[in-house]
Amino acid sequence: MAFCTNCGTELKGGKFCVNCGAAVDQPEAEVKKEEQAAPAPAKMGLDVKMLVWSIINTVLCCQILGIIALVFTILASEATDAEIAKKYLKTTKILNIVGIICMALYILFIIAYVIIMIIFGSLWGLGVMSAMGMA
Amino acid sequence: MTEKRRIDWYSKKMRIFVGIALPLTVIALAVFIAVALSLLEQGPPCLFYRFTGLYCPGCGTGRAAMAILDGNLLLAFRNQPLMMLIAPFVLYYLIKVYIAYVFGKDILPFFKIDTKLAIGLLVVILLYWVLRNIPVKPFTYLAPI
Repeated sequence: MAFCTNCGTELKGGKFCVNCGAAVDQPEAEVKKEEQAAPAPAKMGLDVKMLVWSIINTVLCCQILGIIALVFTILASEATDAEIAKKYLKTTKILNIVGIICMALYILFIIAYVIIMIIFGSLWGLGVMSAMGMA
Repeated sequence: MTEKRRIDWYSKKMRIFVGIALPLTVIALAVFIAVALSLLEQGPPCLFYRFTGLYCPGCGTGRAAMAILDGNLLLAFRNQPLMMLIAPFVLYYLIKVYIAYVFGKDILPFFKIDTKLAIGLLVVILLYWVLRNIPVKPFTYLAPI
């Protein structure tokens, strides 16, 4: 679809506009007008994966990190500029990865603690501790 | 010249491996958590509570988990109402992602989440964080016991 650069009426073909009689030229200008008439750039929409990840981080481990990640997820979904949205999502991803690492370290620490307790407890129960003169 | 070995996360081998290893890891973790909880009689300490004396949104999860192990869902809800409300959705979503990844077909339906819902969740979590620390009657029901 092409539009007259002078009056904006849709051109049906040929070399002159049927409305105002202006000559048909500058195909780039016509295309530009069409683009301006197009709807505003679409927003990216909510990244559900990041949303769920942020919530898990907030509730289970790192509250501050998770909340910030959640805020960035919302910002990314509302941003009209795709480049800015991508940057926000990247920030969210980094924050969530840090959160998962903290959670993993925490879990490993607890696993080590429990294993040591079990070993300690069974050593004590088996009488090894008293044999070694420690209990 | 050695070429960098990149992991193709969507190859059939990877999907089968993760498809089997992931549930096994989850089950092992769950059993470990159950054993640890019954041995220690308490959940892992909350760093936020340690440093500020205030409850964080996650406080009470350990006690809620112990209550669930005893079959006492009511007590679990009393200790962590927020978690009990959103955990089913999060679990369902994780299962949906797992199936879509391993089997390549996203068959489990999920309602559409828009920005408004996300903002609502953020507000709810922040409110929960603040309100459960108010030592006055209705809000104390949000705090762990």
